[in-house]
Amino acid sequence: MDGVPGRPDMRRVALTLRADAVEEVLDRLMPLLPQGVYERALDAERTEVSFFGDGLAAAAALDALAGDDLLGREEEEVPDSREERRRHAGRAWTVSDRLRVRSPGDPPAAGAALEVVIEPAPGAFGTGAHPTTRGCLELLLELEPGGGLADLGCGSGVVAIAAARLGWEPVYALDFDERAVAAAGRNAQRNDVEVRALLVDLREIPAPPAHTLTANIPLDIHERVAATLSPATARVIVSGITASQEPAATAAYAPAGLVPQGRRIAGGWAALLLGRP
Amino acid sequence: MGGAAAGAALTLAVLDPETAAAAGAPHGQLASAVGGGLRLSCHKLVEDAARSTILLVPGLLRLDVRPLEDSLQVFARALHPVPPRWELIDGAAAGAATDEPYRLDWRVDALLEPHPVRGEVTVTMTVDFDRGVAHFVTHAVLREITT
Repeated sequence: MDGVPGRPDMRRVALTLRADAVEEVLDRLMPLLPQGVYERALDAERTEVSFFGDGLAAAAALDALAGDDLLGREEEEVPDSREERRRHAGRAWTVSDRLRVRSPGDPPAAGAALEVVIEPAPGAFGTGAHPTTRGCLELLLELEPGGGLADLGCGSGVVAIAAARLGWEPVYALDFDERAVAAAGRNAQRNDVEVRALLVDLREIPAPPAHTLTANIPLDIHERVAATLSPATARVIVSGITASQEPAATAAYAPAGLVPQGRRIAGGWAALLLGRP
Repeated sequence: MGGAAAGAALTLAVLDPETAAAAGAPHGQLASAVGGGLRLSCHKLVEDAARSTILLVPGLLRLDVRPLEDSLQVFARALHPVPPRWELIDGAAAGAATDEPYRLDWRVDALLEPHPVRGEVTVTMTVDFDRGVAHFVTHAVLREITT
């Protein structure tokens, strides 16, 4: 699927649509576009919908389909590559009306209080779209920042970077995947925050004795972290678990003296705030 | 919608396999008659961050998916004036800690006339993270509820 030398380019058609009309337009377009579309918010009022193909004979008909909701249309020859298509997909999410996570390809939002820019990368979980990541960020936003924070299973670094932006210091980002550690370091640099990204396997090494831990990791790793938790850790945001795993996760941290103080459940996923009473 | 006769025609049209097969063919969707209803099957490769249709029942509903690096967005669109009701019955987050495909199961209820339609929809997703592509398989059975 990726571009290869000698392979002809493909045509990209980009429609600029009224944001509040996108779904109705897609009701008409999607049946005609089996390869799908790539959506990206241009601003609060306009959304770009791109689609790709070799012979878009139906392009003129698509104009009519979009009707009055069509604000603009561009066509260009582009390389036939997955990366090229991904480039036109928006990844911008707002969390608790206070934090906006976006990709470098998404335009900054006017008036956003706090933005974190995350470059998607293979092996680096955390675009900000996943319910458990969102739950983790929502709980983080409810806390009074202060002291050190370690983000376990940092992936792209989205939670660690948000914590640094909010005022935690120092902030550590840990992951067992080299690609995630590299991505977290790059993203910290991109966001101009101080985050130390480290390659750590929590199956072998205890979590660092930070005042606050955020942990977007599987249940069995939570159990290992809980068993070796430092007394200096006063609160843990537990994520990366399903709603059905909530009792087991809570029970794992109970011997360390942590009790539930908040929770978010969405799409079958859970995020929990555990703290000392 | 006007009256019982029009309502009956609507129900029959929604459950017509030829209509669903023709509309869904570009999306790899098969449609056939099943006792008292319609059976649909679809499979498709969807590139990372693309929004693509994986189930299309003209006049009733469309199901789109958008796989991202770390999550799956699902868009259930109503193509009927009375939106069908979707209830996730199983599979939320299933597969998260296993090697099995991610699986979602819904029950769908549509208040058509003269008889409502009830269906079950199953979507499985297998992701190739390195290639940035996900394989979706959709199965659905929709039946007219006459009792």
